[in-house]
Amino acid sequence: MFFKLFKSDKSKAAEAPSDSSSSEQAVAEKPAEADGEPGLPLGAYMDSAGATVADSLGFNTTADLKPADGPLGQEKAIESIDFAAGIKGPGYHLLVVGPTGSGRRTVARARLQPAADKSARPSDWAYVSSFDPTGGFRALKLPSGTAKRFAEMMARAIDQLADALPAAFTADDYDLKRRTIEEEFRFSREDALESLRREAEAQNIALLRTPAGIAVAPVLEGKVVKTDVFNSVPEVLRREVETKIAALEAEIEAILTERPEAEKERRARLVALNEQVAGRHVRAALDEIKADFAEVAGVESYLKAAARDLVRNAAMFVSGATGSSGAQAARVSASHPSFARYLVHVLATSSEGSGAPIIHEQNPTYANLFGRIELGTAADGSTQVVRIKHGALHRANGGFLLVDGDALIDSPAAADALRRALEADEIRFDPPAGPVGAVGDEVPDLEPIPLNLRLVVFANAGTQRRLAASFPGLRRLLKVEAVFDHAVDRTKETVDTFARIVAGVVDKQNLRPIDAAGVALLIDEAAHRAGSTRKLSLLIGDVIDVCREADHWADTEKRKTISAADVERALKQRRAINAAELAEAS
Amino acid sequence: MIAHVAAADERSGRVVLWHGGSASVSRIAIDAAMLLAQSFQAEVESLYVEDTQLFDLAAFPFARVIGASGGSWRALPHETLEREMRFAAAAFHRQVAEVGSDASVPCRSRIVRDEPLRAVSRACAENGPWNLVVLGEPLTPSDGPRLAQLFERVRDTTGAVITGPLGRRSQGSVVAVVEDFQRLGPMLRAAQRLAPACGGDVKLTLVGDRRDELSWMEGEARLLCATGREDDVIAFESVLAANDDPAPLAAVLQRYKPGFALAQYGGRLVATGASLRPLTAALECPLLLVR
Repeated sequence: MFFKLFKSDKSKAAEAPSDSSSSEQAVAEKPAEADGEPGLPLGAYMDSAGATVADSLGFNTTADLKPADGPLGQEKAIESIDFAAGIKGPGYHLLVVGPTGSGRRTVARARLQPAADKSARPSDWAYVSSFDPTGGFRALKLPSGTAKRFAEMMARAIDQLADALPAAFTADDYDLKRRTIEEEFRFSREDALESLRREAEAQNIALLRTPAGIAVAPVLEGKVVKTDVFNSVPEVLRREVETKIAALEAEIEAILTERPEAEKERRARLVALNEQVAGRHVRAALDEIKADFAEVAGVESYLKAAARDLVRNAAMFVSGATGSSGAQAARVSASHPSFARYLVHVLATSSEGSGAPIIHEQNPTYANLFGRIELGTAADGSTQVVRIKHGALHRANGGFLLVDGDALIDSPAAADALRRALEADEIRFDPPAGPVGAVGDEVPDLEPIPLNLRLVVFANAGTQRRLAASFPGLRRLLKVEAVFDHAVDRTKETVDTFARIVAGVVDKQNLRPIDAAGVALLIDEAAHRAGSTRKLSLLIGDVIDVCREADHWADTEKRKTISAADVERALKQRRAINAAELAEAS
Repeated sequence: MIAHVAAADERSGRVVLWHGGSASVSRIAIDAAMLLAQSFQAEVESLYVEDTQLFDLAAFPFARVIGASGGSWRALPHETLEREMRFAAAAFHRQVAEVGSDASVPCRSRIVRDEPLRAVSRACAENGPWNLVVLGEPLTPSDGPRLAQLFERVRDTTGAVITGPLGRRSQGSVVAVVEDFQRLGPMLRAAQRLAPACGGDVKLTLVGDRRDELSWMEGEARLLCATGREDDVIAFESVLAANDDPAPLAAVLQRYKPGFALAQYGGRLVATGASLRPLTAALECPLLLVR
């Protein structure tokens, strides 16, 4: 609550003619005398009553001034920020302390930007499937700015295979080869059965086909023996026939069911055939990616694993043959969930000409800092990853991450995880709650990504204390402290700079120029807020609001310039609002 | 109906689609029956034969059955056998009726309890002799003797259509493998009648064991074809087969990928009583074997 009623009669100043031709020099010398402290550069542009003399400011309107966007004073804080931005090596995280409205965020960002611009673009990172039974993901480090292209090329390759593989697997040649293998397997079984059939025939026993399979019967001259005939032969013979039948049944059962070696060979031959057919297309689809990223460590091994998996699961690309000829098959879209495991999840990437990133995360929850995993259900009912979304840590890696201390304190789990990440220098996905769509503990493993960033936390004095009390470990990591003052001494230089900052606000907000008297009122307000006519408040946040509201009143009066009356009206309105808020609070 | 002397003014025969009671049905065989019926304006009679010998077996207390793909033996009482046959016959007839309806071919169905070949023979004798028997189950390499018995015992038929385990196609060219010049004309005409229904052209493969014989056959064949319709497209190929090896002829069937094929029963491609292994390893379409 800064806008207390001012003791001096501001209306007089507001009504005073803005005659800039009057003696600037005489008034400029007055303040020191008025305070009885000659020689000190305090109370610049001030009359004996402590009010700023508009005529002495040296301009008619802010349009005459070169706009400035600050900062005003804050040399020590700036020095600390520059130190943290420039020092090499990890661990020098920054705590920026200052009251709200002190411009700490703007200043910090402005000071970090040159350091970020000078820094090299960080590498891109992407998560790709490890194609192992764990269903985990490996982190792939890619050259700056190439991750998206890598992901797009991989998606194109899958798309290409979605066209090529169904055609290959429904081609006559493939089908014939596959069925030949199957039939050879069957032929070998039938050869064994045929051999058994001949052996049985020699013993007057026949193998018969029934609707349910194969049966064994005693025969005589090619015909099944009738029961009455069979029963008429001596029991010894009957027993002998039954024994032979039982033995044949055992052999038939062995032929039909117990042929692991033949079955193994059949499977091996089918796998080899599939690999031969699918492998050719898979290699062709991945060749371009392999060539483009040949120098990147890890890409070749990933592509090899992906190729193996694609060949092994080539059947996924064919939704199923239809018709008796078996020659038609529907194309499966490349965006089908079945292909989710071939997605490249881009976590961090940078664009041409950018340096190190500066990311301000306003809501530092765990998901916003560390990213999140979205799960879906695969065709076989299992859980699969459909998306890995990056967090602020991924985007800021290699640069600066800016967070608000208050928001961090409100997310204790995220604050603890952030501390662990900074201590370990790695982004490890270990969420306090399950990801979207997760069932039970089916959260896939993500390989940790090396972390190299500078954390910048903004806090006021109260937040600083709470941070130290609640998260001492994190507070210890913030080795560099930049403290923003709330006021500076009122000197000619600081007043001039203040006026130029007001000009900067006008310029940025596209407002009408403010005349000197209006600026003088703003200077007096800053002095009032600093609690002394010898000081100027650095809390310029509300200055912007006052300027915009004054611009509105000038517009209402159809003035081309914002006058002192407009500023005064805006200030009064703001004082009334603040008084009401105070009353409500009390 | 007869393949090698068929003419429009002759009494129409039948296509007898015979299911011998095993567990499998060849869809390609059903398609072949419909193609023949369409081409010769015939009807299809689907005949399911309940083998009496199986009932004789079922009368034994030790009668058991095992699935063709393995499993364990289970008892085969009369009632079970009867029920399984009834279900299998119903499924077979329903499938034939559906395909026949789609192909606009009149179909009849019949279940007969008899010795299988006698049942087929009787069915053909009812409306003979211009019948064609289509075997509803894919042949296995060891079915050579069974096929020989069919040609020997079923007299009122001009031929039989077989399919193999690799059967997958009934549309495409019609390939006639001619080993005997006497059969050239009838087989050519049969192929020409089948070609429109199969949606392909006719390919004539002439087989001989001497070059001069082959050249003469080809010349005669070209003369025969020259008298046909102008839009008939016929391709010729001569195969010199010095011995009885069926492999070169099986290779022809593989190479052309036909939708239908014709050959002479008892020739090089399908010798009487011989193993069908070379044929079943190559045959992807129905094969009409003429006497």
